[in-house]
Amino acid sequence: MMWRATLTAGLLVLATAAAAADRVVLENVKWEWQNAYGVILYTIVADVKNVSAVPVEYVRVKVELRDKNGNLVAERSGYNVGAEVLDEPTGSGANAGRLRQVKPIGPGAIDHLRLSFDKTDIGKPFHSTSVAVVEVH
Amino acid sequence: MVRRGVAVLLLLSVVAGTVLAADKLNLNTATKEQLVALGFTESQALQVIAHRDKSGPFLQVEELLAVPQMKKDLFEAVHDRVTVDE
Repeated sequence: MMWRATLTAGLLVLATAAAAADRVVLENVKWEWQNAYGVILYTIVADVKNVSAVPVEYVRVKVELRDKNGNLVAERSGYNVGAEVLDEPTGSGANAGRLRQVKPIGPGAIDHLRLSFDKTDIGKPFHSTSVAVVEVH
Repeated sequence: MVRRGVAVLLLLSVVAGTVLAADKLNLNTATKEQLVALGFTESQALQVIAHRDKSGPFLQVEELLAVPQMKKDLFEAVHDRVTVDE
């Protein structure tokens, strides 16, 4: 079941542009709980817009889930959809071979972001979700 | 007579205070009857209980939307009246 999330009490999503580069912005940040044939997922989706005048090869984003006291409950990072190949577990992220498989985001173009947490990897209740761009290449 | 009236008022205020303090239903401990009283159908209430039995305690109220048979309009109606906090 897909639910377009709205801002509710106790749950806050902060979409932060890459301060270091100001080359991309995150838009339409949403989050939702999904039931994938019995596997419970917390999924964050967003649009990644290249607001610069040059192509962007990949955008790495970090998501943090925090409890009501601000303590970190879970975190993970990942890449825009066109660069998800960099997320594969073997080797270090952005090596030359993998970069050749990445689909760059052209100037003014939009790619998507999709990051999921398995509920079993979260483990504790959380009250806020923050999404931040940590690397633009 | 006046003392009895005052005592009744005090008792009522205590009860009311208790009710107000616990006015949100905890999804992780709620019984089928409590969920039904809140507006869930019996089938939906059983799904909520089965969900937490299978995948563990609810981590957010919004997790209700991952429960089979959960309707968005019901979620909108109850989400301010339930909690996952202990």
